[in-house]
Amino acid sequence: MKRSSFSSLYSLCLIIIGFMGLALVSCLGAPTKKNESTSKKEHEVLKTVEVSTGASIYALETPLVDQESKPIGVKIFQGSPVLISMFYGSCGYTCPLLLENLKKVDRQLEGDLQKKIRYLLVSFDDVKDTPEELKKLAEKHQLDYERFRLAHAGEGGVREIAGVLGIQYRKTPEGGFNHSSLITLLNTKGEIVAQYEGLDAPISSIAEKIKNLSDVLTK
Amino acid sequence: PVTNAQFFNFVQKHPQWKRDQVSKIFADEHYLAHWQSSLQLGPKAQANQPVTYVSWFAAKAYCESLSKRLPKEEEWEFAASSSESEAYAQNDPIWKQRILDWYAKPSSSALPEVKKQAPNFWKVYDLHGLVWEWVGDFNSSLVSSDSREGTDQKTRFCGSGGLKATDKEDYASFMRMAFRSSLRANYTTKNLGFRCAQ
Repeated sequence: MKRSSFSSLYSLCLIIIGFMGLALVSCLGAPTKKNESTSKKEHEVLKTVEVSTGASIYALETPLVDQESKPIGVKIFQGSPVLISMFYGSCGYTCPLLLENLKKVDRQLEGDLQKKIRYLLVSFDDVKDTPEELKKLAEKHQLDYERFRLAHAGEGGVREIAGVLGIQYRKTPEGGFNHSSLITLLNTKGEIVAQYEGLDAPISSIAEKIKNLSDVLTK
Repeated sequence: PVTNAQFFNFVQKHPQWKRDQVSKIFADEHYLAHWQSSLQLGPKAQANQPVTYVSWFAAKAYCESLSKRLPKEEEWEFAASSSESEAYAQNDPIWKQRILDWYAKPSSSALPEVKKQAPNFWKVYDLHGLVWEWVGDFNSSLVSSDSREGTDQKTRFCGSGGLKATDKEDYASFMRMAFRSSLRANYTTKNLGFRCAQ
């Protein structure tokens, strides 16, 4: 019996489907095959996304476990401005880059502000990125526990958090993930203030935005 | 797909999903817009019409309340590849055209009720011809715009695999994929409903 046209979903071939302009780029930054669609410019999927208006993502009750095996919630850093994103441990190129960009932002924040900012990174990989693995990653990247949390969520939780942050992802048969990289800035109440492309992150703009968060300044 | 009546029962039992209660994180400002009030269907929401103006979170919560779940995209597409008479209808150009014709129709008339069309080969109703439907992994496709523009394309996605379509002429599937990729989890729209899987 023939299966649906998506039966070979997870093939290793990079094939561009010209009709709809689907494109997936390798983690190692290999050049994409150009599609043959018309030059009509579509709305960019990953521009700053309005995933909510004035509502706090802390309405999510997704259970998480951090790198010290402590159960936490998405709202762990309520009361502080937070940069939140998603990654996975065995990601070879873009996730370390994302992390590096977050650190660059961090270095641009001075004194008090740097003490206030928090980072929450949730892993796509509910199988491999156990709290023990996350701890190793945190140590490898020298992430201080007070300000940086790497979190494990269950499979459903990963989908929920990605949904709330506007992140697309798909698990590959090899156990890796195709995913978008989006950095989200939350204010002290957990409301989305801004979103940024994670890999070409505009470091200075992000730092500026954090500095200008009025609820941080008044604290 | 799940009907207005079924969803109404759910909201009654789980009032946190009333449209005046739910966080904008979970459902946008058009959530259940077609209902007369937060706990009244009213004339624009017939009991047996598929419920629309529901977000992914709302759909998910409904399914979970019945110990079910949203279907995976793969499951949905598999079921949707059948016509009334054939398990796999992708070689049937008339069937494919019917679907595309439906997509081309503007949705100005009232939504038909569920189960009015003939079911498909697997006895599943209304996968085509009624509403777009949420799937569990709606945000699993990375669709880019014209990849000839700008270098930021290279850094947008991390991917070590690709999508291979065995049928490059299954335009309807591509349309659905593009549609799903444009959605956010709290979006609600007039033509988007859902069904559950077990």
